[in-house]
Amino acid sequence: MRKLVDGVNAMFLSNDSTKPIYIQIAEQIEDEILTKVLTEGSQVYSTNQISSLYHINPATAGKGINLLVDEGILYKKRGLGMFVADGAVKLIQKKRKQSFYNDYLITTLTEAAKLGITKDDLVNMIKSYDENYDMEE
Amino acid sequence: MSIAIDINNLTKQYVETAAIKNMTISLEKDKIYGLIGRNGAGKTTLLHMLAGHILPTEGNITIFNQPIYENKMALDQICFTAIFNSPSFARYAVSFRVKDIINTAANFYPNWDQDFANQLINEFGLSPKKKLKDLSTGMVSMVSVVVGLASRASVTLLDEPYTGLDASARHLFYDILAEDYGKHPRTIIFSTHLIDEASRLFENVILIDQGSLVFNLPIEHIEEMSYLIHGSTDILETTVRNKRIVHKESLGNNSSIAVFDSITSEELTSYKHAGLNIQNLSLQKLFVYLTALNRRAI
Repeated sequence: MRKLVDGVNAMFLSNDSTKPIYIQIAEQIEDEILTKVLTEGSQVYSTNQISSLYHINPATAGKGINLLVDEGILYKKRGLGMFVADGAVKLIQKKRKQSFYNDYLITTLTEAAKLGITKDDLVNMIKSYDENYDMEE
Repeated sequence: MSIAIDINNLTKQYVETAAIKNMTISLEKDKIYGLIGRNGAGKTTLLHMLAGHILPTEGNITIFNQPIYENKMALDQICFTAIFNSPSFARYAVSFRVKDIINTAANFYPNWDQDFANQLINEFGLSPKKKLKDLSTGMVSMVSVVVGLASRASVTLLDEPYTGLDASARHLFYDILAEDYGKHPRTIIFSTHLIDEASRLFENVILIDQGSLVFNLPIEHIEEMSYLIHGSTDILETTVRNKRIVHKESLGNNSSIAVFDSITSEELTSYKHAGLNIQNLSLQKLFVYLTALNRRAI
């Protein structure tokens, strides 16, 4: 009776994150949309599926889903459930780019400063990563 | 949101101590509340009063706008489980079989679901014919969990429902609770000492300390106010000013502080720029700091 939902296996919640669980749920779904596990127009997991998978309160799962509905990333089909909206990928990318600086860059730069890695070194590292693991889509 | 339980100026005075002091709380319908507090904080006394087992010294409680004392209409909607672990019940019930308990409970609760009870007995691996005295503490807890869940009572009070349950049985219980609550929403108050383990099931958390209410807050509000900030003591003192600091530890020139206060994302960014390391403060640690017996000078 308690089986995993296909595709959700990759999702995980962190107790160490400073972000509330409902925001982590929303970000996990966003990640799945960005990585095309969930494509635009496809159905998203129900709050009850999310809640029983993580043993979280269904209301918490619902808050995560509703956050994405409010932002136009998901939409509700009456009686059927939640679906990924057209243009969701663009919306998420736009939003995530704004928080990229706060969430990733500051941490990277402060750690680099501690290790004596200069900004030029960093730029070179980024360029060589690009060569080794072709990041272009 | 409609109100399920209204607690007004509730006081329970025992001969020498006040177990509950002038407590006022409103609990909304169809939410899961985590009730946390230290040993002797008054959790069980509060739950017993909510179940109509004991009378308050002062104040009153209503459930769905109904008084609870000697009121069958209200009492039929309340299920309190923990009772199987109480010593007086244990002496009385030792010769009962599991199915006697289940059959008795079935007669008490109007929303009782026998199929669900059977399914739970199966999932927990309980033998219906065994007598309570032949069960381990954990298995007796399972029986009370079965009653609490299968009652489907509009107000379900779970007083440390899993005394003696092993980790895997506890997770089975969390699983079943989340799933069944999703299908049949009801108001659940759940007292526990395993705070971090159970906290994801809570929609709200009620913290009581020495008989008084400390807070009754949605879990995400608590999460958004709980931080552990680490860095140079000088920078911490100049940057994280005017925040409510609930704990502080220092080692050399570095300190870690636990903050229970709202911090804007701009402030968080500025802290990061200043070289401070920001982590989440778990509910369990927050609980420890807020209820610490000997508050160290901050």
